[in-house]
Amino acid sequence: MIPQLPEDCIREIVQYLSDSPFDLFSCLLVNKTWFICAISILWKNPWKHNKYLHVNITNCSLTLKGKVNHLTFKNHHDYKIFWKVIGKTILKCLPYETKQLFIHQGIPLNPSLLSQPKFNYIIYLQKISHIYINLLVDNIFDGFDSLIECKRVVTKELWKYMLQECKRVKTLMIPNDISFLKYNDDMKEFFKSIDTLVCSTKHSKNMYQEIKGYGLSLQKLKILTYNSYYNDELEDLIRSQSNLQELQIIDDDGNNKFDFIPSYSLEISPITYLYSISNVYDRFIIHSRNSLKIIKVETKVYTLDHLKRFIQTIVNSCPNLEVIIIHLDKNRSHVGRLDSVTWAIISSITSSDDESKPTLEFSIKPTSRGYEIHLKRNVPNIKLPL
Amino acid sequence: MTGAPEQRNVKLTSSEGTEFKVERDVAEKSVLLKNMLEDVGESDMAIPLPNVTGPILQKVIEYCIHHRDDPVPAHDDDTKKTDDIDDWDAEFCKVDQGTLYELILASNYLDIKPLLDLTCKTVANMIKGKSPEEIRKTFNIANDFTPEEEEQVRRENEWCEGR
Repeated sequence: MIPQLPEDCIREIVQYLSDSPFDLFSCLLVNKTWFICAISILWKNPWKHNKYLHVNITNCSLTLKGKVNHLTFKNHHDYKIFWKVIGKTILKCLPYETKQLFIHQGIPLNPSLLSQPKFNYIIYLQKISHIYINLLVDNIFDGFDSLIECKRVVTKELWKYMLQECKRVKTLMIPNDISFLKYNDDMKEFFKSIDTLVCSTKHSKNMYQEIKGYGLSLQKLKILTYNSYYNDELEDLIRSQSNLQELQIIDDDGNNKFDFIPSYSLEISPITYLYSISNVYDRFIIHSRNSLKIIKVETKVYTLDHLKRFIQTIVNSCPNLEVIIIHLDKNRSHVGRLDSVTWAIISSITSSDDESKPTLEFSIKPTSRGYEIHLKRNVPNIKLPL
Repeated sequence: MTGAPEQRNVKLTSSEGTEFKVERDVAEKSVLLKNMLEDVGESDMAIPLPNVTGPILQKVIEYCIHHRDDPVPAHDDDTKKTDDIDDWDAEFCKVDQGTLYELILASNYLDIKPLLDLTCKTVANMIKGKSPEEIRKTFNIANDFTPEEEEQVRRENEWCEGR
């Protein structure tokens, strides 16, 4: 006789299938115990199971402009179907009163959505982003394209309900319209579990002031920057984060935005990973040099001379740096060729006759957009893979 | 007194009353036993394990001896891979399904995380590619959904079907 496994053991097993929606789908139909175990895993981050969606939520073009034309998917129909079908289940989770409100507003709600779902699936969500919510709302109704105000009502209600019900959210991408954030009476509770925040310099100072008061303890912060916006409340938020390990600064136009980050905030935060789609100024490097281990930069304006100076600054000022990854965009960078001249420049910076000094391993890989230079510290120099 | 303390044996008793002697560091691969030994201190008394049968305890001890020098695993619940089972572990898990289940229950009870991970991974690999009915059949699980409930669950989660 084979013994039956208790729920916590089934959950352990099902966790190993978390990247396989097909297997999770089979598990949730096995019986009621397996159902509970499987949905808690399936609904943590259901968005990732849309195989046609390759959205990096730091993709600034997508985020800042709210467009979806940067997405790549093999089949547009399947892509829409995913959001439509999951959207219906999410709509079903909304309270009866909200559904009635939709009907009163003339929003075409399918009668099958008026009943309650088998389970309030959305309580397991760990990732909430306005990108996903917008995709849901855009695809949920047939022939709903022109009803802008109705879409706004649905979006608002989805945010409101998620903020009330989701107590396990780890990643939050703050919506452009922050009025959606004001509907939950217990926002402090909601923000308690968040360790990754995606926000922008465009968000109002009041909002930053408010969420700072919630006692956030972030590990990752992704900031989308705008040329004309300076946000000192965002500075205060960074300064208040003593557990911050990863900082991503993303801007849309290649201009340097590091001036908006106060140097003292970088001294306080033990940031070990820095990612930026812009140049990194000396000031930033100097103040974070002891903790920084990984720097990843997408540059758009470097000449070979800039590149040399940039690598030199990093190598000289960050003693604990282990990896530098530099993306060079061939369309926007002045670095036309990465050839033997470049190798010679990088070699002159990274090699050393002094055996006691750390050396750097480096390689250049061609990518679809240009080149990627990898430098890895504290390993012996190796022959270049040219 | 100087010198390293002598490694003492720990006595464990299975559910049938069979006694097993193991070295303390082997026993301490189990967080449950580690905590017990720390609380009780030095004692010649056998620790009863009423939830674990002799043959299963024998297997658990075999695992703990093989992995006695492994570092304490870091807690990381976000990286759940199923393709990182080494040859010895894979061979260790080549047992009948009843034994595999008993090993899961024992490692859960004794709190031996790496063994729980290994056995759960093995079961997860057995599930891959199977339909709900095949899973039920393989693991002797009764379906307690009504047909209507099953249909509702299927409909509400069909967004992930076949993806």
